[in-house]
Amino acid sequence: MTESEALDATFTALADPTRRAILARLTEGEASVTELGRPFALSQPAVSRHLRVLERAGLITRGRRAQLRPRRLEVAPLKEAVEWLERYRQFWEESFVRLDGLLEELKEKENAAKK
Amino acid sequence: MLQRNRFEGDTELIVLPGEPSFIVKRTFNAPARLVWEAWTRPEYMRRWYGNSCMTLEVCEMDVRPGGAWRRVLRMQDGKQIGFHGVYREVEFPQRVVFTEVYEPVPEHPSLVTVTLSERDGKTSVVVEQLHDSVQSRDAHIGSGMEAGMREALDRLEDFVSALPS
Repeated sequence: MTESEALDATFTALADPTRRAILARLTEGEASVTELGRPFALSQPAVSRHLRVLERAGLITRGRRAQLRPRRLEVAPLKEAVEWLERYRQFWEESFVRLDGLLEELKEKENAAKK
Repeated sequence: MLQRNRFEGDTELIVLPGEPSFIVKRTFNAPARLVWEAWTRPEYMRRWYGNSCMTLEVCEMDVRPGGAWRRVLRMQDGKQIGFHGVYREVEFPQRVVFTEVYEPVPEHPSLVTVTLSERDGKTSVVVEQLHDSVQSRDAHIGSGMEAGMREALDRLEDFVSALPS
């Protein structure tokens, strides 16, 4: 996956409230498919579909323990998504700090002109 | 909000559910007429638009409905990125709407609305960049931010801060 595709997969995965709830549950530790499905009125195949989306995004992986193959959270793709957004915001923030300086100057000029 | 607890600065970035847009908000300690000047006069915009990695090399603007603008950002490695568009609405000192073409992907312009509202001598500025689709937004920003949303971002922030690095 390219960086762009990876971010796309991350945000697609995060767009769904059930999947976010699953991720939230996994922040407490790994869990089986049955455990993950329990809080939702969802069939096991429906839960499995959500888990596949999360897996494709690299947000969760399967453990090796016995047959339960408990799922666990992977942090790296989430960090990349946050970092991308932060870079975008940072571009504006840095520009705006410079704009603050310019505006101060314009205000002073205006005040001086009034005198 | 995602940005507040992570970094210095007051710029808010908002991503709404199901909309191919980004909204950036910030308040400035100056009246709207001065903020307007800073946004609409090239000699002023050249002084603020950009950051430590990207400098504004070209800035041309003919601020009236139907008038054209163009900006070129130069990266540290010498690479240049051009943007251009046409002003659609110009209402001093509160609203300017223009199209924006990211020159590497010219077939998908976005529509940018800059809204200024003055109160007690301060001016809040909202920049909304609306793309024609999630795909073109992705092309524009060079990432694949499909269906991002504020709730997801808050979640994301919680995960990242709660988890060991």
